[in-house]
Order: sequence, then C-alpha cells, then structure tokens
Amino acid sequence: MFLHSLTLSFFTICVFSIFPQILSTNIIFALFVFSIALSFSLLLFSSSLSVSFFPFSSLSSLSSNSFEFFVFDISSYYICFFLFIFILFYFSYLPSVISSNYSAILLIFLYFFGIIFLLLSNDFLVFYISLEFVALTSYLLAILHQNPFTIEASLKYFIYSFLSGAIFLLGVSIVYFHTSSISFVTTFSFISSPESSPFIYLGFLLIFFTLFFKLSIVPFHFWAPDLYEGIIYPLTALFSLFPKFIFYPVIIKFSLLLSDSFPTTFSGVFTLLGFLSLLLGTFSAYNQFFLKRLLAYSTISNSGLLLILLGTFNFSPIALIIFFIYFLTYLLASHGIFNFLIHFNLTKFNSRLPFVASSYFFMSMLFAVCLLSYAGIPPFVGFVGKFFILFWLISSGYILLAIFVILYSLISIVYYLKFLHFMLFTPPSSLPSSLTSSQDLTTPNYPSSWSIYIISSALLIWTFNPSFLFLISSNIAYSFF
Amino acid sequence: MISLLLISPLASCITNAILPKKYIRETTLALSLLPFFISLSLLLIHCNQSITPMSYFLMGEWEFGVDAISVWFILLTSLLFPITILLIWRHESFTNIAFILSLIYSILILFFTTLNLFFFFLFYESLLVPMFFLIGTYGSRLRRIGAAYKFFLYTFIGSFFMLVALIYIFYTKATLNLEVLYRSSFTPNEEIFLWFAFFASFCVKVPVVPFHVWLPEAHVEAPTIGSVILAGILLKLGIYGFIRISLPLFPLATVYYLPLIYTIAIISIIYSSLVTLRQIDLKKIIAYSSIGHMNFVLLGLFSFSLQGFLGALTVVLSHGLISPALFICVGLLYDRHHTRILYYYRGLAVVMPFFSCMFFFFSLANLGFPGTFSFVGEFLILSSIWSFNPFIALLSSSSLFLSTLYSLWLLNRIVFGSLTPYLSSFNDLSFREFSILFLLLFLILLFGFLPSLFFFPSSSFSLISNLALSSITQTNI
Repeated sequence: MFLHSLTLSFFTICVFSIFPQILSTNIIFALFVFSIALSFSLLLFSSSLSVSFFPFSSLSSLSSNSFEFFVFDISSYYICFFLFIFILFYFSYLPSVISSNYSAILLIFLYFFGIIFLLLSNDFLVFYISLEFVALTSYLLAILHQNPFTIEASLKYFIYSFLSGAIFLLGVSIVYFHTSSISFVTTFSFISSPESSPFIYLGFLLIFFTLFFKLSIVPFHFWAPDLYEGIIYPLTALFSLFPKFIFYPVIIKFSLLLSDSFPTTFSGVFTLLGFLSLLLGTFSAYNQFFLKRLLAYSTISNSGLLLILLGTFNFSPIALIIFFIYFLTYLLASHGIFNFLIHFNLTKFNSRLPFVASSYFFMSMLFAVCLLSYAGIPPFVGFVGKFFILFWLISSGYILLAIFVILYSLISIVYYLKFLHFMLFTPPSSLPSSLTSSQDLTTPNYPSSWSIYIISSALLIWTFNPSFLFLISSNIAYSFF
Repeated sequence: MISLLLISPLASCITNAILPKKYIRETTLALSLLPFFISLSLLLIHCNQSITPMSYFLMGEWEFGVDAISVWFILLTSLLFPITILLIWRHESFTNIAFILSLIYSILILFFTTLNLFFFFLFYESLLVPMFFLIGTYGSRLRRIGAAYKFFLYTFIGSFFMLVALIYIFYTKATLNLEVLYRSSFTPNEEIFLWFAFFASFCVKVPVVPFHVWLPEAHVEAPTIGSVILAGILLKLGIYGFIRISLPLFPLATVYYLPLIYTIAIISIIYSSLVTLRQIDLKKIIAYSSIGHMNFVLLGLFSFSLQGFLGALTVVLSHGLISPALFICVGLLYDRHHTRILYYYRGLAVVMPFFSCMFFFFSLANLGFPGTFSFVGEFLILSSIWSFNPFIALLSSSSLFLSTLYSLWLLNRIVFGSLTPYLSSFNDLSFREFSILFLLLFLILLFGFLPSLFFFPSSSFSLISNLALSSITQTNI
C-alpha cells in the first residue's frame, strides 16, 4: 500500500516535470507532499499502533519474487522530521536552483526517492541499487551548474563514490560467500552462529566503510571539502544534510542487528574513526578562509562526534536518545546556518559579512543563534546535546575520550566565533563604499526567513523546556529496538 | 516577587527591540530601575523564598530562590543596571547597547537566583556571548578583537573543568539541585577532585594570578560600560561561586586546599599591586588594582570565621561600587580627550574641580580609607586572618600599603601639578555624570559610616558560613 502510493506519487512528479509549462513547480510540490503525507498516514496507522520489534516483525513487508522490501520500522517522527527539513529545504533553497535549470527538480525528487528506498530496503541488493541511485542523482545534480570547480568536484565525487560502491559490493560478496544470503536478517543473524568464519567480519567492515564514506568519516573524507566548495551553495547544503539522514539510521540499524558481536569487533573501529574525524575536522576547519570548506570540516568533526557516540553506545536506548537529541538539533542548526549563508551568498570571510550583518541585523542575530547552538555554546540547545554526550561518555567510563571531546569543542569554538567577529566587530561606516550600495543583496524570501525564525526560536526555547525535543528523540530511539 | 525580578530585565530587552526610538531611553531607564526596587524590597521583607515555575526533564525542578547572600549580589547588579543605562544615554547606537545590556543583566539575575547547578553553569557561560559582543563591537581600538577572544576563551576553558565536575555530580548524585546537594556528602577523594575542578573555573573569573591575563586586556579594550560591568559584577561571579558551591559542598577539600588558596591569593595581591605601580594606561591601573582587591576577598572567604566571611562580602560590595566609579571617571576623561595614557593628564584640579573632587574621593575609597565602605571590609578581613594566621595577615596587609601607593600616585599625577600642555579644552562634569558619581559616593559613605545597615540581615548568612565553620571545627578535632 505504502509502496504503491509512493510509486504513484513518483510517477506523478515525473509526468509533471516533463511538461514544466503546464504546471508550476509549487503545484507539483503540493501534489508530492500530499501523496507523501497520504502514504505516511497509512504507514502510521499500520505501524505505530502495534508494538513491534525490528527485525522480526514485518509490518507491511511486501515480498516480491526475488527482492524483499521491508518497511524499516523507523519512527514516523523521524520521517516527519525528515519531511519537515525537506520542505524547508525545498522552499528556501530550490527556487534559485530550479529557475536556472529546470531538470534540477526531477533530480532532486529522484534523490529523495532514492533516500526513501534506502530506508525501506531490507536486502543488500536493494540497498546497493538505491545507494547507487542516490549517488548517481547527486552526481548529476552536482554538474548541473557548470564552472571549472564544479566539474573537478563532481568528477572526484563520482570516482570516489563508485569506488566505494565497488568496496560495498566486495563486502556483500564476501558476506554472501559465507552465508549464501543477501537478506539483512539472515546474514546478520548468521554472524553470531558458531560456524561463522572471521572473514565475514571483513565483509561487514567493508560495508561499514562504504557507509562511512557517505558520511565523510576520516580516512574516507577527501572528497567532501572539494565537493562542497565546487558545487553551488544550495547543493552544498543538500549534500551535507541529507546523507546524514539516511546513513546514521542505517548504521544504527546494522549495529543493532550485529549486537552479539558488535562490542568486540566494531565498537573499537567506530570509536577510533570517530575520534580521528573529530581530530582532523576540528584542526582543518581552524584556519579556513572559505566558508564552504570550513563547514565541510566542521561537518566532518560533528560526524566524528556522532560516530564516537555510536561506538560507545552499547545498545542502550538512553544513548540512542542522546544521539538523536544531538542529531536533530545539529541538523536544525546547520539548516539555519546554510539558509542564511545561501541567501546572502556568503562564501568567504570578507567584508561582505559585516555588510550583510549591518543591513539585516535581526536575521544575522538569528544566524548567530544557530551558529552558537551549532558550536555548543551554553544558552542554546546544542549545548544540551553536548552535555548529554559528555554525560554518556563519562558515565560509561570513557573519561579520557570525554576530555578529548571537550578539548576539541573548545578549539572549534574559536572558528565559530570568527563568524561573529567578522560580522559584528567591523562598524558599517568603515566598510569600503563599493559594498554599501545594496545592489547585489536581495531580501531573503519568506520561507527561508521564516525557517530561520522557527529554527532559532526552537534552538533557544528547547534549552529551557526541552520536553518536545526529548519526546521526538526518545520516540525515534525506541523505534530501533 | 522573584518572577517579577526575573521578568523585568527581559521586558526591557523586548521593549528595546520593539519600541520606537523616540521613547526608548526613558522606557529603558524606568524598566532598569524596576529590578532595583524589587530587590530592595526583597531585602527589606527579607525572606528566603523559592519558587518553581518550570520543571526540567532529567534535571528535576528548575528552582529560583533568593537568600541573604544572593540578595546583595542582585542588589549590586540592579544598581549598576540604571547606571550603565545612564552612561550610554547620549550614545548613537543606544538601542543596540541597551539591548545587550538588558540581556546581560537578565542573565546575571537568573544566575544569582538559580538553585540548580546546571543552570548555574548555563548562565555562567551565557554571559560570555553578550560580553563578547559588547567588547568586540563597541571597544575603542582594533586590539579589542583579541581582547574579546581572550575574555571568551579564558573563561570558557576554565569552565569546562566545571562541566566535567558537573557531569560527575549528576552521574553520582542523579541531581543537580543545590538544596539537595547541600544535604548530601561526598567522599574525601571526590571532594578533592571536584573542588579543584570548580576552582579551575572560578579562579579565572576572580582572577588569580597565572590566569589573570584576560582581565587587563578586556578592561582596557572594553567601552566604559563594559568595564563597569566587568569590574562591578563579573569579577564577583567567581566569589559567588566559591560561596555557593566550593565552601558548602566540599568543606573538607576547602581545608585541604587552604595552603594553595593562601599562597595564590598572596602572590596575586603582591604581584598585581606591584604591576599596578608600573602601568601608564589609566584603565589598566584600575584593572590590576581590582585583581588585588578580589584576591583579598578570597583570603577573607577562606579564613573560616564569620568576620572574615562578612568582610569578604563587604569588600565584594564596596569594590562593586568603587571600581565602577573609577572606571566611569576614566571613561569621562577618555570621552573628552580620547586618550587613556597617564602622561597626557596633569593638573586637572585647576580646570575640572568637580571631577577632581570625585576622583580624589574614589581613590581614597579604593585604598580603604577609614569612613569608606571598603575600610570596613578590609578591617574585618585582616582581623579574621590575624586570628587565623598572623604571618598571612602580615603578608596580606602589604596590600594596604601598596594600594595606598598606587592610588595616591595616580591621583597625584592626574589631579595635581601644573596644567598639562597637551590638552586644550576642558569640560567639567555634566549633571548626568555628576549625579551618577554622586550616587555611588553617597552609597560608599553611607555604608562606610553605618555598616550596620549592611550587617542587619547577618543572622541569615547562616547556612553557608555555618557549614564552613563546622568543617573547620571538625578537622581541628
């Protein structure tokens, strides 16, 4: 049912986007949202009423002959949050992308459907197909707006991404050789049985490495800053926000399925790689002049922090709640940051920043709220997430790790403060006069300014009354068990 | 009552953002006077009340309360609020500065009233952001940017030790409510670790000597109001933290670390006083002298007697009145002549008589002249240290001598002598400036001659000083 409505909406979009003259993009989007909402209301009715434990409850699993589709029992809250971010994203960034190139809308919806199929897959083959589907659409998206940097960046991304896909296939084939199955449930339950060989761990390690590549965890991070810098700004936001939405739940799902052997084999790897990306991301972002590179590196370090939490979470629901508290606030804050930067087209630490800040003072204050929350500076909710992460690390005995996390967040604060320093510490009177004519400064459109209002007020209020945040994140966290 | 106290500076924040510019000054001033009267009435009805407006997940109730100690800090805060508003009365960007100021004061009042360690930490840190803006945006020279960073990072690095301690307490005791924690106890090893973590964050704020580097920089680069807030209130946050947390929660560790505290405090007093003698920047002189005074407070606080404790509170309050007054004086000179270098000023008594009288009075008050408020505090501290350890009392009394030296030297250079040839036009105090300074002068004299006004609620300094006193008697046994 769910799948049918999804495919229906997918074809609707395809048909409409072939004839752009007939309907405006907003109508397409309204149809899209309607169909998605319909399908998820069906999903809600079918899933949330029954208390079910993944993976043995197939809620609305639709078995065809060869593939096994499975509605991954991720909480409807998570999907709603994802949709919320997607809608914000769509309305605030995409008009500028679509106006210059109309096929972008088709690609973005294809990207979205790739994500949905990834979340629904219960089978390595479907997983691989949708992984490559996402990679291909994102590659095509990246080269839509061509300039010399774009071609280099997207080619690099393309090559690295298909290499990682090959590594994934290698891992899957190793797993298949030992278990003669590609279904998640079968293979993951096989690993704990006594006749499993050590090579199967290698297979799973390769699969995890592919996921780490998508999340730009450290040894696999080289593509991220180049890609972010090369492509146009809205797509930078897309590529830094949306992979996290897919691959963190997938990693959590895999590690919960591997729960018998996970602590001994994989948790060390997770923690080490998370630590390395925290280290490298923090120090590389420290002296960046280009904002996109800075954001890329800070994304790497934040992914590292999340991965450290996943390495040490020990299958505790509390740790998952903490994970999602940090995850959701992090995504919201980074959405707010990208929103502001995109609309004023800020790419460097130069005199454009103080000019924007003096022209749109209130907006830039809200941007500062998002930024400070992102940095984890106290009055904002990013600090609450960081506090709970440190609480988890200390209470489960990783005191040295907690001290390192604290040190790196101290270092990272310097480059977040640098934004505020550049924006606010230069009086507008001392700016060069060529800048003060506001010819290239457009007022942000309503959706983007309202999304900044909503996000920054949420980031401020949730510190003092975080019950809603805790509700969402505990619901998401418990949906994995 | 307390909710009104908490709301009023926030209300002034909102009015600054909303109201038209025509009425903004008067409205802000009226709203800034409100917390002062509320806290005054809190002092007069003298109640230990706490309310619970919100509940906080995993943290228990979020409680606010005022007791006989915090009410003085709140009173000082809310007294300086209208004064700073008056100081920026003619500033071109009044609205923005008043917004930042109201933000700072609302955070400060929340900080002084909260009874939960989590929010204690939260507000302690939140203060850095508006202060960072204030120093960085409205400072005088380009060097302000470095000063703002220094100010932010020193405090931030220090307070992360506090964060670790906080998480440890939360993990072991499952609560961060101070009233519950006062009634629980820690093992000696825990106390030693936790005390040091809190000390690491508070000693940056006091500041004690190796960690004082941010203070002169921040003072010099900040605008006058920034210096007033820094010297008047922000330096007291560390002392307030010692009173609220270190003394009552970890009494054994306090005794254990006593030699460390005394050594550091005496080194800081003597070092900062000697450094003051060599400064030529007017703001730096006052900044370094306030380091000496705050370390003197530290000595009184850790002398484990009621006199010492009261003396410490007295010096906190008197310093909170005197050093803002001195910074305002220096700020007046800077506004008129745009320099803070000592050598440019000489013989101002001839052309600025009102200013010179005021400056004379505040210099005397700074060195602890009998009849001023600071004399009461320093006398109490010295007498309590003498009964505790005469040698330390001897060493620390050198601060009196040194502070006399630098205060009189500064006064002599600025006010007396032949008129300076570098400056041409002179304006004496305006009515607004005079009334600000006269208010502070009046309060200093009032409490100097009638210290009983300050001591009348001393019966309820009970909990904390009693805990500290009982700990010392336990260890003696």
